Amino acid sequence: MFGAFRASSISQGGLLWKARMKMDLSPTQKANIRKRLKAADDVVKKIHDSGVQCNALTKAMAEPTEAQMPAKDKYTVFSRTFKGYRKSVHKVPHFSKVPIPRTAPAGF
Amino acid sequence: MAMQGSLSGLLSAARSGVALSQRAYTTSASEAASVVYTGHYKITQTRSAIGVPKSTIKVLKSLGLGHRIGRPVFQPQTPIAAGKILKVKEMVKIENMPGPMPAEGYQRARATKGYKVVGKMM
Repeated sequence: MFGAFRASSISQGGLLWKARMKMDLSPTQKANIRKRLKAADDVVKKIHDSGVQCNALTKAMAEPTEAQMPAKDKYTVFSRTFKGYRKSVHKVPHFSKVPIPRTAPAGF
Repeated sequence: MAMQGSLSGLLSAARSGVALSQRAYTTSASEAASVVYTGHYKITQTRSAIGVPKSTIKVLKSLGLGHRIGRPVFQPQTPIAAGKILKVKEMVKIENMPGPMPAEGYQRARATKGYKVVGKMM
């Protein structure tokens, strides 16, 4: 990175990154992302089955389920600043318990 | 959002059966008064609230959650409770329980003690 020196936490300004710098996710990470998407789908389905009607449910039903989402939408999110305008979902803070958009803007 | 015309957007509209330009407003007083939902939700928190936005934590607390993961909470099947649950749907799992909430509430299942207190000295 800095010339001939190997990149280490000291050489990178003493800062420590806990998330991997790579974009790819391991099979386990992907499996858990799918599991969490299905769990959120299950909540929406149960509320729909209960017969209650509200705007939040209408919006939630308009989103795709995990089975309908392409892999790109499951494991990456739209980002203005990243090359290719997509970043890995694990870079979103607290991505395992915060709502992540299931669709990206058209064309991205 | 649904107007973007992306493929996933079209699939989701087909899934819900709602036209792309339609918005359902169901909050008129007469509609709300005429519809009665029986049953209640059993809501269990599955993720910690650490790092979650403050507005979401407020919703969790208003549902009765936030104390202990895995401890169930019961809410009537109303649009109010449904909207709150949908806000925290990534952190929660629910079940539809038939019938109204029991008047005495749900007691936590505990093992029987092997003794009975007959009196106290203090």
